[in-house]
Amino acid sequence: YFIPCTAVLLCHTHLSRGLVAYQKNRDIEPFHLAAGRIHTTSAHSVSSSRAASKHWTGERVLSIVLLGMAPAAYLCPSPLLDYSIAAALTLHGHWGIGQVLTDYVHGDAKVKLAKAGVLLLSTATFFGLCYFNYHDVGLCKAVTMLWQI
Amino acid sequence: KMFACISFTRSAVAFRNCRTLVVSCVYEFASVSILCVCKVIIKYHKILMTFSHPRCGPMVLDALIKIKNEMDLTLTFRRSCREGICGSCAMNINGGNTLACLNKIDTNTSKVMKIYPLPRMYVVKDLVPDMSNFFAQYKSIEPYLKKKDESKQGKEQYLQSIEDRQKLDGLYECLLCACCSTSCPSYWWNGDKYLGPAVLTQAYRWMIDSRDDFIEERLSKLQDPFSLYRCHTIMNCTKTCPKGLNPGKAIAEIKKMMATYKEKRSSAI
Repeated sequence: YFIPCTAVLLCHTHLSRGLVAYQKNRDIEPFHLAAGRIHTTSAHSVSSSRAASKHWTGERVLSIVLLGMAPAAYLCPSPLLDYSIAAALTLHGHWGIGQVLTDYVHGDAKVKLAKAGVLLLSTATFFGLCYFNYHDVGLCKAVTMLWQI
Repeated sequence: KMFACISFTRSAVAFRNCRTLVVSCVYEFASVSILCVCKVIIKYHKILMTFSHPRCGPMVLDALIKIKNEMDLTLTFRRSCREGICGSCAMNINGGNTLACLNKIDTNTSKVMKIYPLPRMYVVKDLVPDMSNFFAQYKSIEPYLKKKDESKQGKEQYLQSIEDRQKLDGLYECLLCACCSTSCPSYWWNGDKYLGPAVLTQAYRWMIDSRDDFIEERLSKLQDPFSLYRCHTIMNCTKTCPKGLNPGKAIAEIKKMMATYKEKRSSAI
């Protein structure tokens, strides 16, 4: 949009701001866009999906479980804990990055693309960690070794 | 394309014996268009001017009115009650969203005060933002009493215990000034779908009103990734509220209710 602006400085008693010619529908358009996308559910019965709140609860539960795995890994390292940590860690990261995507990526196509990319990343990470657990020393032992450097 | 208006300085010569208040306001005119076909135009105005003059009221709104009266008649801003109860004069002063009528001018005359409209709102003119989206979101949460049984409507008061009434303290006082919502980064990035702290606080106000019967319905309206769950407890809202309310806490309470509410089979009415 081309917006002409004229600024005129009058004498010391007055300051006038620039005049701007607005296009007629300039102001209305942005809001109409916004209004059209305001979330409104139709007035149907209560039996709607609770996926969003379940996801939120799952994220918090997973965080606490992951937190508990840290001392557990220190106190009693085991292959079971290795794989559990691999799963919990990648899922926690996957959901976390998912939230970042929802915040910052806008537009249906871009969101789909980004979510697919992150899914790929998380799957690769999980399989990578499992491979490490199986063929190498395992996560608990690896951290122990790191601390002994 | 950015244009900056010329700034000028003016200082009073006389009235040294009177109390002098130096007010500096910064607002310059700039307009940015993002894409040639894009519908979004962000405008904000800034003009730099400083003047010192006695007999100006202590609040920023007084200074704005004085500037409008004496220096620039075209300066445009919303105002009404001048006592912090209507919420009209909400704007960004020195980086924080407050009501201009409650914000005291800093008597330290060497400091410049920067006044901007509320962040990331479409600007109608100068300090006047477009509040349409904000009010439409408020309307969408149905901010009125809803009873399952409306047969007793209008006959007598719906009674409420003192404890139940106290639950509404800190929620009903909201002015809907939009200071909190426009201070929230999540509302900046997702203002179209995220309701924002002001609207969510009012949603909570109706959920916990003991006279309202539709709490489950109100909660289930928030079951999507955006309406409620863009809140990441940044807490800018509570920090900036000019009335000292706590939207962050209200949202946290909603999240708790969302996790634990039991859906009752609603009988058809």
